[in-house]
Order: sequence, then structure tokens, then C-alpha cells
Amino acid sequence: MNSDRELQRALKSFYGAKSLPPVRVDHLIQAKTRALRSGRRWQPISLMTITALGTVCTVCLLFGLRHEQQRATERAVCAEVVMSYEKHSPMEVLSSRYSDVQVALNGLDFSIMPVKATILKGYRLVGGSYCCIQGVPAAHLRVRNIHSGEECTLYAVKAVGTLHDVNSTIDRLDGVRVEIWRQDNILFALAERGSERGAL
Amino acid sequence: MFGFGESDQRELLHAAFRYALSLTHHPYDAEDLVQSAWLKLLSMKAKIPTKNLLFITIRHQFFDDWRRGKIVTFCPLDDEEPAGCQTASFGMSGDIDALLSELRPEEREALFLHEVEGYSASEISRMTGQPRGTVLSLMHRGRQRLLRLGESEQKRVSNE
Repeated sequence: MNSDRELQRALKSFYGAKSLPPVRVDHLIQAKTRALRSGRRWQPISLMTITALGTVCTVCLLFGLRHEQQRATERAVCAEVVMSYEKHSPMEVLSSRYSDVQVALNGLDFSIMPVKATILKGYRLVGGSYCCIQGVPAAHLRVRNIHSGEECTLYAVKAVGTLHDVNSTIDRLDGVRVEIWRQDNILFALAERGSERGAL
Repeated sequence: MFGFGESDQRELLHAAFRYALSLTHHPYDAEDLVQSAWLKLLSMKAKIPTKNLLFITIRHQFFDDWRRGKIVTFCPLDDEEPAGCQTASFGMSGDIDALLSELRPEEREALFLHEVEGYSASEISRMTGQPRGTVLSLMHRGRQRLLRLGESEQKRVSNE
């Protein structure tokens, strides 16, 4: 062995003559094809995907729970409104003017007058008294349907506490139709037996 | 697909085999090593690995197996000589195959990567994770041992 160059030539010649047997090469190339075919199906899910899925599931779960809680409150309000409607409690003040009733129920720090034209034109005020909905002080107003002559009850309550999340809804319980709507931060509920038309 | 034709893949596999052979110095072990590394990379990435990645995987696999004592070099007892035991002329009468078997795997690897694959010492250092000085030392010692062994072999042949 004479020189580095000769050594290099010998090494190149030695290793250059070596190759993987063709059978083994074919086998490995086929294995590659199989891996590429199945690779898409068996790729591990990345941490980011798991996190994103987890976040979406959590948000959906929280949203669902919140929605369910909101529906439960709405049903509870409807039930209370119907129960109060059925009691036919006596009025503390009798007047066809909202301003008179408002003055008489001076313990309430919000306006009890609805702005809906359908209420103002379709129902005439008879009187009012205090009541309570879900533990919140409320106005219990007796109104008369001008068209049918039937007495109905209209409730006005400040949307605070559990009532904060209650939205407009229409429900029917024991043959009494309850329509709830919001007017700014005031919640109104109209209870009317057998009525099919809405106040909104 | 992925910029790798079948001929490129074949060439990559042959290069990997030569590299594995420089480590094991046994063709059957080298074949197994290439297959193991190739399948491992495909199962992880499902695409054709780069040459460097394949070499590094082969290296890790080899040293893992070596440390566990799995690689045991043996010579076949029958007359048929396997491809890896074929001899190549070195110098006047040297048997490069037999001479290479006297080197440590790290020395053969460094010599192969530098002399055959054309990697620089820095590139080998990055690939193998060894300091550049160590790589240079391995190359130097490997070369010196080969030259020394070759010379003594030449003398023995001429004396005979």
C-alpha cells in the first residue's frame, strides 16, 4: 500500500462493488409503497389537533350546558307565571292607566309600562299588585283582552340574577299560553288562557 | 412521488447498504440493518427518507444492536463465499476486505464517509454527533492502520 490515493481508490473500488441484493431492494420498495398507502390512515393525530378538538368539545359542552340552564330557567319562569295566573290574586290598585299603577307600586325601581303596540292597543289595563318571580320583586298587572274580553295577567320584572339569561320565548302550560319578551333589561310575561296569537 | 424515482430509491438503498457494510463489515448484517432502518423510517414518516436521515438511523440502529450484543460477526463454513467476503485488490497484494476487518467500526465508518461518499470531516462530525477532532483522528488512525497492515501483508507475501 503505497499512498493515501491508492487507499482511497481501493476503498472506492471495494465499496463500489457492493450493492444490496435485488430481491431485498424490491422488497423494500414494495414495503415503501404499502407504507405510503396505509400511512395516511395511520398517521398519529398531532397534539395540536387533539388540543383543538378538546377545545371545541369543551366549548360545545359549556354552550350546551348554558343553553340547557337557560331553558330550565325559562320553564321555571313560565311555571311560576302560570301558577300566579291561576291564583287570581286581588289587585292592590285598580286603574286603566299605567302611570297610576306605577305610582301605586312605588317599590319597583323600573318602568312597568310595555312599549309593544300590540299590548297597549290589544289589552286594556285593569289594575296591578306586587308579586315575585324567581325571588325577584315584580309587577303583577291584570289586563283585559279587548277582542275576547278575557282577563289576562301581565308580569313585569327586572331581568337580574337567574332572570338575566331568559330570552323571548312562547310556552304553553296547563292550557295557558305564556309569552315572554324582553324590553331592555325588563322582562315581560303575558299569561292568557287559550290564546293562539302572540303579543310580539 | 416526493421527487424520488424508483431508480433514485434503488441508489439510495445501495448507498445505505454500503454505509451499513462499513459499520458491520458483514453483508447479511448490513442487509438487515438497512431493512430495519428503512422500515422504521417508513412507519414513522410514510415517505422516502433523505440519505442523511437514513444513514443516521442506520448508525443508531447499529450501535444500539452492537451495545446489546446482537451483532455477532461470523464466517460461513461452506465453500461458497458471500458477497461481503469477496476480496478486492489493494496495493500489490493486499486484501482490502481482510484489512478493513481489522479496523474498528467507527474507523471504517469515518473512512467510508470521507473517502467513498466524499463527506468532509465537519459533515461527518455533524452526522455522527462526534467532535470534528475525533472524526479526523478516526480517519487518520484508520488510514494509518490500513497502510501499516497492507505493508506488513505485502512483506509477508514477498517473503513467501
